[in-house]
Formats: sequence, structure tokens, C-alpha cells
Amino acid sequence: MRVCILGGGTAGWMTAAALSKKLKNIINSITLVESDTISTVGVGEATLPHIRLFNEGLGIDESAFMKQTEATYKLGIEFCDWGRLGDSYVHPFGDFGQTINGIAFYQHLLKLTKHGDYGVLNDYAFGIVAAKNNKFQLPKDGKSPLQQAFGYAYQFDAGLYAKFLSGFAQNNGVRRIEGIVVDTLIDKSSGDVTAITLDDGQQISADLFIDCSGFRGVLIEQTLQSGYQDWSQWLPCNRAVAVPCERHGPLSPYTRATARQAGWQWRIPLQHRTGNGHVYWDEFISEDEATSVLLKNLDGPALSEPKQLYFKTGRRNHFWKNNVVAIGLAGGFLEPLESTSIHLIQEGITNLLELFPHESPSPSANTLDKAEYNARMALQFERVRDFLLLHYVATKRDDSEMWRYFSNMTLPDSLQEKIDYWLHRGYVQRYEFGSFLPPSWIAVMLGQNLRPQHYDPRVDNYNFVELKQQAQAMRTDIANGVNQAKNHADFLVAIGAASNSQLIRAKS
Amino acid sequence: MSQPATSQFLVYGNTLAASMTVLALSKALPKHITLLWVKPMSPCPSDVLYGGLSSPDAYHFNLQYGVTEPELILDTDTTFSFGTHFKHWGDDKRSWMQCFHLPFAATAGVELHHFMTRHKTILGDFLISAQAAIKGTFAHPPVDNPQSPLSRAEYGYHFDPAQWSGIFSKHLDKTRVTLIEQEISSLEHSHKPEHSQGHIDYVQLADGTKLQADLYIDCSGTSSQLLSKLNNDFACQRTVQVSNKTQTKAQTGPACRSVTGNKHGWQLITPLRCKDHIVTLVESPYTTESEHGLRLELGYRHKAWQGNCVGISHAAYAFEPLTPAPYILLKKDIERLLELIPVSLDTRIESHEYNRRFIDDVVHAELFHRAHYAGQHNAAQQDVVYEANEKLDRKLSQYKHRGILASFDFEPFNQQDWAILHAGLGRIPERYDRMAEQVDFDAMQTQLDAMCAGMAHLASKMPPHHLYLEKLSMYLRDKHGHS
Repeated sequence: MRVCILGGGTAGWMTAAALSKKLKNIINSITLVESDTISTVGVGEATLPHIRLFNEGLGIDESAFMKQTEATYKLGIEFCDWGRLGDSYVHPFGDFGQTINGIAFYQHLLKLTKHGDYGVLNDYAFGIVAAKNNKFQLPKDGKSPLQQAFGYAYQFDAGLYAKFLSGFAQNNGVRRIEGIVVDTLIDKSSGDVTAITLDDGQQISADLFIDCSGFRGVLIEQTLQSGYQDWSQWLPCNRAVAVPCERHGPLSPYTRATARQAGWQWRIPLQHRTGNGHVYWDEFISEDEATSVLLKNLDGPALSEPKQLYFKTGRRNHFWKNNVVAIGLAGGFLEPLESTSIHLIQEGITNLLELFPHESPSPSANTLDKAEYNARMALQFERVRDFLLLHYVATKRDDSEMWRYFSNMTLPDSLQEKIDYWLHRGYVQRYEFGSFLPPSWIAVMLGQNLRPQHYDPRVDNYNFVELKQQAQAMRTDIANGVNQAKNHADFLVAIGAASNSQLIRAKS
Repeated sequence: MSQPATSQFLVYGNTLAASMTVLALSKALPKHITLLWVKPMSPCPSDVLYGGLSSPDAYHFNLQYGVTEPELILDTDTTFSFGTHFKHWGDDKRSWMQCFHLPFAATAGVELHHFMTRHKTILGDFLISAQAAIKGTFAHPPVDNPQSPLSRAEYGYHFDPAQWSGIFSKHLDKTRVTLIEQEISSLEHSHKPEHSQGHIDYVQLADGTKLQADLYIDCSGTSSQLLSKLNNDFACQRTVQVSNKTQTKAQTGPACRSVTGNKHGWQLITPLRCKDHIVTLVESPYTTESEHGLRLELGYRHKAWQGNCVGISHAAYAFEPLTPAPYILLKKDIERLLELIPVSLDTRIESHEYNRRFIDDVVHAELFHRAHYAGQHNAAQQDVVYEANEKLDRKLSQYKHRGILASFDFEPFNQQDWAILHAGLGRIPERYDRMAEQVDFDAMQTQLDAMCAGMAHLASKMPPHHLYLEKLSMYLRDKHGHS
């Protein structure tokens, strides 16, 4: 089996690294084609906890990887100005409080808050309290179940991560070729891609092509015309402007997403700089205005010229068509509000590993592999889409055209039902296969002021005095644990993950 | 945010479902909801459909309501179960042990069943619960020794539904439940315009008493005495005749049930303490008027919650007791109901969500049952014909193609159940996970040989099930001071 990966961004090198490690005995050759003249988007620099499994599966040492990618720990995302102007909450990785009498703690908190000040949801998650105090420790080092009940991910320089994995993959035998695709050869009977021709005349033949060429989808769309499901009616933001800036102040172990009048702005602190971007809807703000909003809201001076990105939210009709599998932006795009870009790359790779085609029949002839892969990826994308849309519609904001658009939107039935059930009784409609479990939905819905009318009636079966005491004990336990945790920056030094590189400063 | 004022729930039935539901509600309901249990004097015969088998999670489910394993062992004829031993099943007269098991060990990220395909070996030889069940031995899986292969085994229980009903009833908080031992003779529909979709106004007991409730919970078994009056949406898929008898034995049988396929259906033997419970199922074309037994329609309703009435277990569906599906679904019904206890008189949201989850659970459980018959052409089971099903097609085709265990959200049967069933029915994937090639063939073969021998050795060293039960009972009597 010969594999050709087109594109060398995060998606391309993650795929190359995984295939070269996990399937080295059955793939005869892996060729990755990239061009230095085509800049990569460098999708989301923030990740979800699943990335740790990916790295562990490759045998990557955490400290070494963090050091080389200027990585920081990520305990969640702080959302500012989403529910209302001035509001903020953190969506952490992990649950809130401890189950009491078999009932999730948030249900008890819904009752408690009716009877006085028993804190907010954020006070019952170790990850959030640690994040807000710029502290970090590994879950296993917690001294109580509550101090261990959190997950973590990373914030890193996606370009450096791709470079790191490039070295890893090339050490595992992946051949890197510099070039731009100028032509594609198709087998007329099967419709398969048989080879790509590069600008220097080289022809790369393969049995399976993995399209990591980004939004353009050189093979999956331009060649095979998979077709695109446009989800702009639900997630209409279609532009982003990104710029790194100087990092100032303490090193935060969390990403920040601040709602703006025509979109939202991200802030991702790395060891040597801070990544920033403004995702917006061009219907209501111009490129210049969007750039101006971004530059006015940086922690420090910008380190380069802002870079504009153009996209359309949605996904390909087929992630896998004929002998081409699209991974990353070539497969679909969802704005990085919940750091899902790299996660969806990882999902694509994990599914491809499990469904990696056999030589006979040819990768394109086997409809079952494709059908399963496409069904799994479609479900992932759709469930992330609903979760992202929740952020825009769970709001009282009506201070701009964009927010008024969302307040009048007809939601997908799947999301409308979820919101209705929540508002009625704090019930979260669950699924098993998807990236965001009930605590994530609870964090956003309560964080953005969707207050249920009722709570689970079983809560009333528990002694209220004891409930108050338990709630207080949980808050104290978490606060004590956070007090004893190390400062985030100190923790990186302590485990040998600090890059020790100079903070990047703007040229005067 | 406010909770409703006083309300009343009425549970109807003399079934395992009724006693489990009443106990669960009595422990979970807040004080403002009162609970009425209208219990007919005679137990419902359709409890035979549980097949006397629980799933492994019965242990924790029972425990949360105060019902302990020692109590079941000492006070009822309950025995342990590693699963069901199928014999003479289908065209090829297949035999296999459909055992309970925790997720299989993975090697290099590849699940065990792929190595079975690669090394042309039999999955059951590598499952301690299967090996022990066939040898007639049993021991509790150790909780403090993860290195022991036995720690991966899981067990459920063989039980007599009437005895379990008695135990659950014993644990009721009598101050929370009003028990009325009578039959409901009729029910009156609500004629309010807002109740056009079917709603109970009140029920009338045999003595003429009228009872009103905010929520009626129908646990009356397959007769579905309340729910069936509100909607008539039962989709019958098969009609069967089920008869049962009990046979005393000198010693307790193995820690597994046996299901033996035959010309006209199948026979189930469930070992209880020093007796076997024997159920015979005959497909409708072969039943005769003169035969004893219960004539049952297998299938399910499309809505288990209609208006102010919820059907639990056999009041909403009837599955043949081929697998633990009837017990698993009962447990899921109760958990679903507890999560959706109405917070107001308007229960449209609760009923809608309850029915969505109900249909998912029932359909997914049914897939597992259908999979027992899929692809059979020449045996007695050829008469069991189901319509084409997209989900089952996906499961079967993906497995046959390359051993992929395609899954849907929260299925009642897990991936191990499916892998064991496929293997048992002789479904061999054409291919296996390609990542398996990363593992050296000879080294893996040596490892598998050692595993297989280790399983067989361990299974033979475990005590016979009947002896284990006897010694355990003696120990528990000493410890708990039972007579």
C-alpha cells in the first residue's frame, strides 16, 4: 500500500506521524507533499484533552513535546461577554462537584442557589479555580477525588507542533517532498486518483491519498467534487483575522473567547507569545474594522501583520470518496470556539487507522469502509456544530445585528430540543458518541444564564442542611487544593517543559 | 424555579417490574409525591419472560435500594450466572457460551477479537467466564487482583421473579407506600379537551373504589391493563407459545443457563438452587390449541408513556427470554422514569424524552435478538423473519467485513456481547484490524496459547458452582446469623 498525504500543516503531519507509527508494517511508503510557498492556516492552537491520548499513542514524551512547541497547559476556556456583556464563565474539562444520592451535583446547586449564596458552578470545579488562579497540577497529584476530577489539554504553537511531528514522522520513514500540485491523474473506470503531478514535473503515484490541503480540498473537492454541506445559516461567521502578540502578565492555563459585536476573539497564551484572532461575520463588519477590533484588544504589541482567513462553515458530503480521505480543513470547517479543529483531525486519523483499507479490493472499491468512516465523521461534525451554536443562541445579547440574527434563528431540532429540556428541568439530553459530554453542556448553559424552571425532584429527597454542609466542604476542598498547587509557569519549569526561550518582543 | 405541590403516583401490577419500580420510586421520590401500589392478588404469568436472568449490573442496582447479594443468596433460590450456553442453535447447530465479560484486553491498541480472526482461534477459549461456565465452576471475580484473568469476568444472577418481588417488597418503606391489594376493574378516560391524546381520569377497583393519580405506572405485564386502554400501538412481530415448569434436582446446576434450539423453537433451562426452571418456546406455526402455556405476542409499543400513564417492562414490550434483554430493559425503564419524574402537571417534555429513549433502548435490544436469527436459512429459526433493518445491516456487514463492532448511543448490549454473539454464530470477519500487523505473529501466537491454557487451567481449579454456593451460604449464615 502506497500512501500520499497532500499538505503538511497540522493535519498532514499528525496523519503522517500516526500512520508511520501505527501501520508501518503494512504501508510500503508514505509520501507527504507540501510547499513552503503555501502557508498553513495553523488551525487552533488550543486543544481538547483527547490530544494526550494521541501523543501517548505515538510514545511522545510530554515535557519534551511541550518544550519544543512552546506549549502551556489548558484547563478550559473562559468565555467573556457571551450570555450578557460583562459576564464570564469557564468551560472546564471535567465535572462539577460530587454526585449526591446518585444525582449530579449541579441539580443540587440549582436548588441551593434558590435559598441563598452557595457559590456558582465555577466554584465546584478544581480545574476552573486553578485556572483563575494561574495554578496547575496533574490530576493524579490531587489529594481528594474532587482535586483529581479534572482533565487538561495543551495550548501550543501549531506550526511548531507540525514541525515536531514532521521530525517524528520522517524518522519513521515518511518521505517529504516539496512541491505544488499542478495536475491530478484519474483512472477513468474507477474515478480514483492515481497520481498527482507537481510543479517540478514529478509524479507521485499512490493507492490511497489523504487530502490535508486545507480549505481548498485539492483532491476531495477540486478533483473528486465531493460537494459541501454549507452550515452558514447556523454558524454564519465566515472570516477570521489572526495575529500573535507579546505575552505579558502571568501565564494563564486557559484559553479565552470574548464575544464581540460581529463575532468573537480568541486569546491563547503560549510560553513565548500569545496567539490571538477575531472570528467574524463579514455581513456586519469589514475586514479593516475586524482587524482594528482585534488589535485594540491585545495583551501587548502585535508581533506580525494580521493575517486574514476566509472560510465557510460546514463539511464535505463525503469525507472519504473513492481513494481520497479528507482530514482537517479539507474535510470541513467549524470555527475554533471550543478548540475542536485539532480534535476533529484526531478523530479523522483515529477512524482512518481503524478502517484503514486493504489492498484488495482497492481502497476505493470497498464501500463499507467509506460508509462507516463517513457516518462516524458526519456524526462528530454535527454534534460539535450544535454545541458551538449553543454559545450564540444561549444569550440575552441584542446589542448588534449579529446577536439579533441569532435571537431570531430557527435552530436545528436536535439543539432546540436540548435547550427546551434544559430550561424545563435542567435535564441534559445525552449522547455516547460525541466530543462534548453533559458537563460541557451544563457549563455553557448555566454560564450563559439559561436557568432551568425546575430542578430534578429527587433532589428534595436529600436533607437540606447536609446538602449545604457538603457544598461548603466541596468548595473548601477545592480551594485548599488550589492553594497548594504550583503556579502554572513554575510547574512547567519543575517538569522540564519550559522552553526557556526569550519572550518574543515586537520590533520597535 | 418551583416544584409542584402534592401529587400522587399510582403503580399497578403484581410483577417483578411493579415491586422494583415501587421500591425505586419510594426511595427516590420527594415527600410531596405520594405513592400508591395497587397490587392484584395473583402474580402475573408474563414474568416468565425474564427468563430468570439478570445482567451483571443487577448487583449495584439492587444494592442502591438496600437489596444485598447475601440476602438474595440466603433468602431466595438465586444462583450465579456467567451467561447463557447456546446449544444446537441455527442452521449449523452452533454451540457457544454467551458470557458476560468486561472489555477485552487490547494489544497494541487492537482488540482481542481481531487477533482471533488473525490467528484463527475461538474467542470463547480466551474468556474465563465462558470457560468456567462450561466446566460448571464459579468464583467471584477478585476486586483486588487485576492481574487475575478472573477479574475480567462478570456475573449476573439466575432468579425466580416471584422471589425477587418478595425481597424488593420487603425493603419498601411502608410509610412511603400505600398498598392496596386489589384488581383494577376499569378506567375512565379524561374528557378534558387538553387530554385528547389519551389520559386517565381515574381507575376503579374491583370493590368499586375510584382512585385518581397524577401519574399511572402500568406494571401489569403483557396484558398492559392501563396503557393499552390509552393507545393501541403495539407492533406484534412474532407470536409464540411459552410454557414453563420447575424440576427439582439433587444439586444446583452450572453458573449458566442453557438454550437449546429445536425443530419448533427452543428450550431454556435456568439453574436455581437445587432445581431447574425450564421454559419452552414454540413458534406460532407449530403451536396447537391443546398445548399448555402462554400464547404471547412479541413486539413493542411505539409509545411507553401516553398522557399520564407510563408502561414499564412487559406492559410496553415483550421480548423472548433468549438474553437478559427483558431484565436490562426493565432496569433502564426504571432509571429513565426516575430521571424524568414530572416536575409539573404538563408532562409533554418528560413523555417525549422518555419515549425517545425508550424506543432507542427497545430497538437496540431487539437488534441483538434479531442478530441471533440473521442469516439462518434451514433450521427451525428460519421461521423467525424480521424486516430488513438498516442498523442491523450496518452491524452485521461491518463485522463480517473487518470485525468492526459498529455501535449506537447507549446500547443495552455492549461490544463484548456482540463480539461473543458473532463468534458464537460462526461469523468470521473477512479481515481484521490492520494495526494488528504491528504485533509479531509468532510472539502473539505464543501469548495466545499461554492465555488459552491459563484460562482452561484456572477454570478447572475453580470450585463447582453448587459447592461454591453451599460454602458461601454457610459462610454468610455464620456471618449474618441467619438460620
